[in-house]
Amino acid sequence: MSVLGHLLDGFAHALTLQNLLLGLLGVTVGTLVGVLPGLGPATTIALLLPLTMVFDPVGAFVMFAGIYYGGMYGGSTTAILLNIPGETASIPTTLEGYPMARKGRAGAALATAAIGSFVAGTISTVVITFLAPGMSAIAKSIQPAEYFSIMVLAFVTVTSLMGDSIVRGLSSLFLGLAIGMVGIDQMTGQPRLAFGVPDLYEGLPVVALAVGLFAVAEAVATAAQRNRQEQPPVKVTGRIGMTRDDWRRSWRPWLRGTAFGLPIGSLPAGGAELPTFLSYNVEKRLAKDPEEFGHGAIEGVAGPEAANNAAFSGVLVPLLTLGIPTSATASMLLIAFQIYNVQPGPQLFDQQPVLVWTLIASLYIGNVMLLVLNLPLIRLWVKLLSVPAALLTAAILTFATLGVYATSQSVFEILVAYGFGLVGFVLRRAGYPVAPLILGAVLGPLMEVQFRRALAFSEGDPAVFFTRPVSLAILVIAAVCLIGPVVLRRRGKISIPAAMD
Amino acid sequence: MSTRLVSAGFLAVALVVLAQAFMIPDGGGYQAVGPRAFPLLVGIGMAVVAVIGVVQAFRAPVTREGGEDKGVHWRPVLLLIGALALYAVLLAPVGYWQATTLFFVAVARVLGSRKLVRDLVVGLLLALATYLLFDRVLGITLPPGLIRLAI
Repeated sequence: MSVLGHLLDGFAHALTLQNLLLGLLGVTVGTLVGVLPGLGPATTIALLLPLTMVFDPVGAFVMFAGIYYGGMYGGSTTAILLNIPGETASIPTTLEGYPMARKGRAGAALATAAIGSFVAGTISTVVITFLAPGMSAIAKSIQPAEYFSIMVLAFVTVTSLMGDSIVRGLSSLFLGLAIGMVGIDQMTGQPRLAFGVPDLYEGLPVVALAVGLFAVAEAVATAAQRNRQEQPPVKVTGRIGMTRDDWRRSWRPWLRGTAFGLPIGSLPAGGAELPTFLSYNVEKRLAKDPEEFGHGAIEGVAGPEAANNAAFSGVLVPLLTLGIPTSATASMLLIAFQIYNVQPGPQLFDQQPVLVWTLIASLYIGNVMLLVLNLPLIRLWVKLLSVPAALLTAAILTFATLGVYATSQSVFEILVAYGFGLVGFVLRRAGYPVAPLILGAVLGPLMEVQFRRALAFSEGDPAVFFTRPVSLAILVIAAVCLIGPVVLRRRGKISIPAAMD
Repeated sequence: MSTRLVSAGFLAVALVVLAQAFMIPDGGGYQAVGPRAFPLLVGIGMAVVAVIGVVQAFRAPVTREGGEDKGVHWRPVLLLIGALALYAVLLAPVGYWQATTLFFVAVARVLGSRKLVRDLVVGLLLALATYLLFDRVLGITLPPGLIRLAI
């Protein structure tokens, strides 16, 4: 079947009444949770993951597409109105969106974010519709040694791009890799890092890990700064929408943002941080009046929001075709796939055509739903921002616990989630990014499989990673990505804002 | 929370991982690579990075304390940990919605809420709604506890 045939088939599944309702539910709940301060898209998915598990896989993934976009959209609302970025990629939005809101232009900022996200999301979805099957075909020919090297590259780029210290990022990454190894070795049945605890033989549960690191850690952080004065949200006054002038100033940044976000997001490296910062800087440079930047320039919201959304869609390419997540949010999606015993990777398009194409069709539908629902409903979402922090935190912890318990029926897993909540809180306080940790824990086991396969082919010779030209080239790029930023930072050429995830 | 303390913690974990990795029996057999190679690689990598981290943390001046906010309020954090531990333990014997209501009220209070009645009402409604949704509608069994609901 051709790409279009597959896509139409996907739409046929996505447009059934049940799946439409699930999509609607996903978008709504995703936005609702994403709007809450401090809850970025990854946290939103972690909290809502268990809710999807009662549906059949196709229905669940339709809902997921909605949650994915809804969580991201909700995050930009918090960035604009509260000056709180839910994740690193939202920082540029706070730089211009919050000043706009304070000047009474919240309506325009929210509108350019929403419409820009829609434009970027739709363009990107069209591109990945045609790009992904091709990538999948290429991915099938990748040998274990190269696969391993690509994963190294993904780890290195994600780690060196997040946060202000590569050493701290790598520490988190290695901790994640170690966590991923806990339990019985799949190939030999040998328990590893389990310390003789039977509960650990099946490995540390990733759902509990993610819920703890994101949701519980956020709650603990709120408790730790209890007496801090709360920033009152900016009131949304006037019309939600853009003037003629806003449109004129927004459409080029939307397209440029898409042009940054989509290609970078589609690489098995990258993620969403780089394109959003790139877009912000380019818009600032191209602006007629660069002085306005920092005081509410609409281009600074339009560009990065489009870049962010395009990158989010692009990230699905390495996730679906290679099984490699390149952001915390993509790791959450990989966990969701694994819950359904679906392993994303080169075989996915052949083995699960209905699932994949329904998911892609749902991305189109989710984008439209968001635009149609959210612009009119924005005032309702904003009301959520006035819920007292104490009740909000209590509710987050309740749902986090419910989610873990519902998936496992195990008190042990609840305790794992709470434990990692504390770990996540401590790490964040000390300036360690959490995203590499979850990435390592999720991707580590897959990486080891490729590592051992490659060495099995070479009969145990570790030189295989360096003697195969493609593998060597990828590793050289990884080394440059690792060392390059260190050198540049030493010379004071670039500065990347501290990790916020 | 000082970066020094955490960097030392990383080093400790790295050494544990390394020690554990060495203890994994590598019964090769007909496999080229046993279950020990990858853990060793990770352990070594983690130890190297952790040592650099410790050196960096102890060289840097002790100015880095979080970001916008200074110290941590440990009292609410410790109370929260207590509430979480109790909740996890009591969930099954006491029942989902009963334990959740109490937990909700406790957390809200730890976080500074002083409106007991409001918290109780919100907590009870939330607990009952999620209990009925998951247990009765979605078919995911939650502990009923001592007081059974008539519906």
